[in-house]
Amino acid sequence: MKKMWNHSVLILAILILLIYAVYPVVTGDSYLIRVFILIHIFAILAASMDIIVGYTGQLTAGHTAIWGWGAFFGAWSIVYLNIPPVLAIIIGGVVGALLGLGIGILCLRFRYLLLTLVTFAILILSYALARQFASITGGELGIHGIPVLSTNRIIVFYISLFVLIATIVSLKLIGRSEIGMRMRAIKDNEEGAKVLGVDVVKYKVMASVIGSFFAGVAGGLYTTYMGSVGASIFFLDHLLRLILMWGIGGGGTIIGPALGAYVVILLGEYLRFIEEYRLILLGIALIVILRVFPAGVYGVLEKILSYPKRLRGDHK
Amino acid sequence: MDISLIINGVFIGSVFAIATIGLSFFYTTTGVFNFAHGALLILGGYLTYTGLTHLNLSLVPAAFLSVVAVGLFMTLFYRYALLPIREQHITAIIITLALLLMLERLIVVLYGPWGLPFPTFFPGVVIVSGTEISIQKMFVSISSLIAIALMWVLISKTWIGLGIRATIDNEHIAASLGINAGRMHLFSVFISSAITAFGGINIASTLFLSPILMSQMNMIAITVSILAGLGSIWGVIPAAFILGIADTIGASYLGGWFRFVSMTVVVILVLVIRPRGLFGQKERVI
Repeated sequence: MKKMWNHSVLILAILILLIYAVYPVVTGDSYLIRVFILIHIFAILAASMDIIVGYTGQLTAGHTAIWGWGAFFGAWSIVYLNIPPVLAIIIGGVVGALLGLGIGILCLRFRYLLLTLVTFAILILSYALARQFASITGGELGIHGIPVLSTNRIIVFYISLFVLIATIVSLKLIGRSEIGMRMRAIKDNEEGAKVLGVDVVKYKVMASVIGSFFAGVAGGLYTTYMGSVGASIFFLDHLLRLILMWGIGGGGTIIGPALGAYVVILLGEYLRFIEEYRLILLGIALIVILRVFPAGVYGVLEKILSYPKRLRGDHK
Repeated sequence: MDISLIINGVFIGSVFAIATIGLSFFYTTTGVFNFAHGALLILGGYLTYTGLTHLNLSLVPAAFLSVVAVGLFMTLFYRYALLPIREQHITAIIITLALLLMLERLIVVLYGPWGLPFPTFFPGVVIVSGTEISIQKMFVSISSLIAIALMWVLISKTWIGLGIRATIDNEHIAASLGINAGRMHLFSVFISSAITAFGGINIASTLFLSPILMSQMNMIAITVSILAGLGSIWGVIPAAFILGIADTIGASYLGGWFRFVSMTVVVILVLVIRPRGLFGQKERVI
């Protein structure tokens, strides 16, 4: 990673970011803006999943479940408690963190496979519950008419972008810190980490709480942007697409999965003309990437951007 | 207690059993949990449907072709996509999830998202002590159990079965004894996919063909596997019947969403109270 982030690359990245940030003001509301808002939300989801899956190695299938409950609680707080939408996002995050705490503690006793199965079951159970208690969840169709952040989509674009950047920055800082180092130690070799004195329990749960907090925030964003939320938020489709984004982007790097969100959703839009084959292609792409470029899009970028340095011969 | 309830419970149990046996065998041998299992199930039914309608084959050749096709496909997929990286658990699971996604889309693209009718080959009923039993269901139950029994014979009594069992017990030691573990994996994948496809044909003949069935059957197979315990292969049979009979009884009293919710609740309960399941043993040594 140090190979990549030298001065010229950093300047390039900031430039791209500035152009991207200014774009909506220049072009005004458009379909693309709406796509980008969704991308922001999913990028937050993907990045937050990375701290759980990519850093501590707990492959949780429940991330979208937390996202969904964050969305629901955000919606309920607006509808029943008259809380302003912006605060509802934070409530979503808090709910997410609490759920993450519970699930994190529950999953301490499971390793890879059972963990995935339990969280998978929790996701499906969430869907069933949401459908069952239709009186408060609106069932399949959901609750509608939730006050949105703003009717001006450009504002929503900036808010979501801001939250996305905040998420990535925070997660990156955590990842680079000693906490992140310990988490990655757990993923690489849990027993070895224990031997070296890493408090596996604490860090696994911490990762789950942090990741779930941001998932809940993404949920709050989702419902205040869409203005509605229903049991369909727990569909497997969302989970599978999230995993696509995470895998294609490159797990373990926070930024990678966020990039993956851009790739998957944008490709999905461009490939709309082959509507039904989209997911098949993306699935194949994921499998190929996981086998050939396990580091994903981020890894490929890294390699490309570090060429100048390596050619000059001063790589360590 | 109604006789028909028990008979139906046995029928459902046998369906659950053949739906799950492939999954547990796959996992026990390869160490990879095939999330795409549900897709393989309905694929068996769908391919047979194609054989019947578009290729104008009769039942047996169509069924045979579809079973072999699914088996070959999964074996090839395993060989190139999973075998080399099966030690990286996370990646392997993600790949099977991707396969699930792709197969589901493929089926919707090729056959449409709505249900398709599957011909019933044994119409009619038999009256036993005042209740009607559908012959088709009887055929399905019996043929499923025979298929499982055949598989048992294959695994327990043949040389290949011995090789597979050795690989299950301890792959490295088996390899050092000259058993080609990779090849054993491929055999197991083929056998488990084939019997799964067969199960799918059976299911289709008593229900219908639809992509929705995929998630349902997937969940059922997962639930039965977990109840039985992930380390055991044959333990899924009693587990399947337990779940099947419970499901039938429950459905008649609570109906509708019961099945859906109960499966997930069973999974969570089992994993929380006794992760080992009913018959599971120590973890797989890869």
